[in-house]
Amino acid sequence: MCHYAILVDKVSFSYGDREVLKELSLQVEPGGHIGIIGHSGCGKSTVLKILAGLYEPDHGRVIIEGESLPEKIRRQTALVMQRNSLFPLSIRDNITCGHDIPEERIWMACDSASLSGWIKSLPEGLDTNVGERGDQVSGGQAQRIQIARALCKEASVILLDEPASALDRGTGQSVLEALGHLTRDKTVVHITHHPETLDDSYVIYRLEGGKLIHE
Amino acid sequence: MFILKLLKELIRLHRFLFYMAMFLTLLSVGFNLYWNSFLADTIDLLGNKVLSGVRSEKTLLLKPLAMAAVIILIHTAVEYLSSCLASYTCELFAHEMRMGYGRFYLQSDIRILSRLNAGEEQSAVQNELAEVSAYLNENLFSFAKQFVSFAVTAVFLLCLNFRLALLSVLPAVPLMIYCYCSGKVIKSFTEQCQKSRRQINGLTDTLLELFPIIQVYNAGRLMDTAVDNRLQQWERANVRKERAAARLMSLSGLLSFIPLLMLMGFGGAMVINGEISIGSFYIFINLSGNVSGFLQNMPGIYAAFRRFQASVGRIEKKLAGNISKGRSHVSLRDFGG
Repeated sequence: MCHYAILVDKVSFSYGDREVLKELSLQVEPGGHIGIIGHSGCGKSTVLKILAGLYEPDHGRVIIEGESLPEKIRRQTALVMQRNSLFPLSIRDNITCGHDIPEERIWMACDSASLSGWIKSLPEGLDTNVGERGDQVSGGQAQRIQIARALCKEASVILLDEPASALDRGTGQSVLEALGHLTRDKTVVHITHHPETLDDSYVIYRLEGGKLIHE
Repeated sequence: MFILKLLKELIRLHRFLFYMAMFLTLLSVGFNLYWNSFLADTIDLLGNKVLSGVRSEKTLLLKPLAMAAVIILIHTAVEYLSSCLASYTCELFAHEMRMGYGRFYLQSDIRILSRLNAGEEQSAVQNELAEVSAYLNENLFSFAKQFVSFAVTAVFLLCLNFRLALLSVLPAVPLMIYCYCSGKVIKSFTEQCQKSRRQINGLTDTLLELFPIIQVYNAGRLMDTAVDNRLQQWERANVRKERAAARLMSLSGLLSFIPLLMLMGFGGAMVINGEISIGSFYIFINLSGNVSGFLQNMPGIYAAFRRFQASVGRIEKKLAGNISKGRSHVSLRDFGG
């Protein structure tokens, strides 16, 4: 039985002829936080997609919370992306993703993501439509909705793909604070170009030449 | 009005071709009227000969036949040239618009471009420009021809017999008002359809972009329901539009027979009373369609124009000011080179 929350064992992955990951290995204990940095195009997002069960590696194995099948891995993970990740539906649908989630749990997630005050001020509340590509909400609100979505899923592994990089400094900081609620007591993999935004609990790795190097 | 400015700009760029095509269109209408007038004279001539008991002579028929052959040949040639030139001009107009659209991207700020969605933009280019181009091809010169035929024929008939012309044209006035009102109704339905289609396009883009999120959060059923809802909205909007258009247009078709019926009744009586000749009556029967037919087609023409206006409206920002900046070719200067 694997005691790691995340176990990546000699994983290789290619886009056609271009090999992006070469026998990459990683072990993360339950509740461990790791940050991955690296230059653009080095394969950071690919690592995240493999960890989320969206891509299957060419070689090697990935075990998340004891599961190795992609559909089972996806159940264990929650993903917060950089931007443009809202459905053109209501705030409620964006948070619940169509699942039957009790109202109290939705509001708890909204509280943790610092959304409640804003949602209560809207005439239609949770049923307000966010518009096409989330154009009816600000960038910060869109990211907080994503955080509330991840909180509602109650996944044990949180995957973050530069969730605050597209925001201005002030908004980015408040989104990072909201992320604190999401990542507490969870296993986290955070991809970023700004390692200074990660707190001391994070172990930083640099992705270089298809392998992770401890910073 | 942007649409008029756009047409003015396109005409300015290809003024020779446009005016030439217009001239040939007018010439074609003129020949049509002359042909009808010639036929009326021939009918009257033959009628008079028959009434006066003169036996048919070879020379009596030979001259009109030769004249008819010449008129038909010239008319056919003018029609052919007019049609070719009109199509070519419309294609050039469409090309100018496509290049103007391309110029918008080349001259836009990177911050504006980064906010655009490639799928939506591609869809806009394919759908809106195709609709605009198809409208111009099908309607620009055809409408001009119909309008000129309508106006010239109305004047011609009024000069021929004021009372009969008035009797055949006046019932068309309420029909015009009806067409105007029904056009407004059709427009609102058309806009609803276009809005629904835009929403479906947007959702399709979202599906592709957010595929990872849909998988991780198992949101397949939510998206399935969303797509289904939007398709149903689109379907309902289309059915409503088609139903309204069919009802309004079929009624206008029925009403358009009134001028012809009045013409038959009053015109026939005038021929019997000897107030007009059979030839003149023939002209009225044959040409009144140019007047009433134009009015009969008004809802369709109006609805098509509204669709064209809506399509141009959606690409207005990208076309505005970009048509006349360059001619048919994008140069290196567009890249800042």
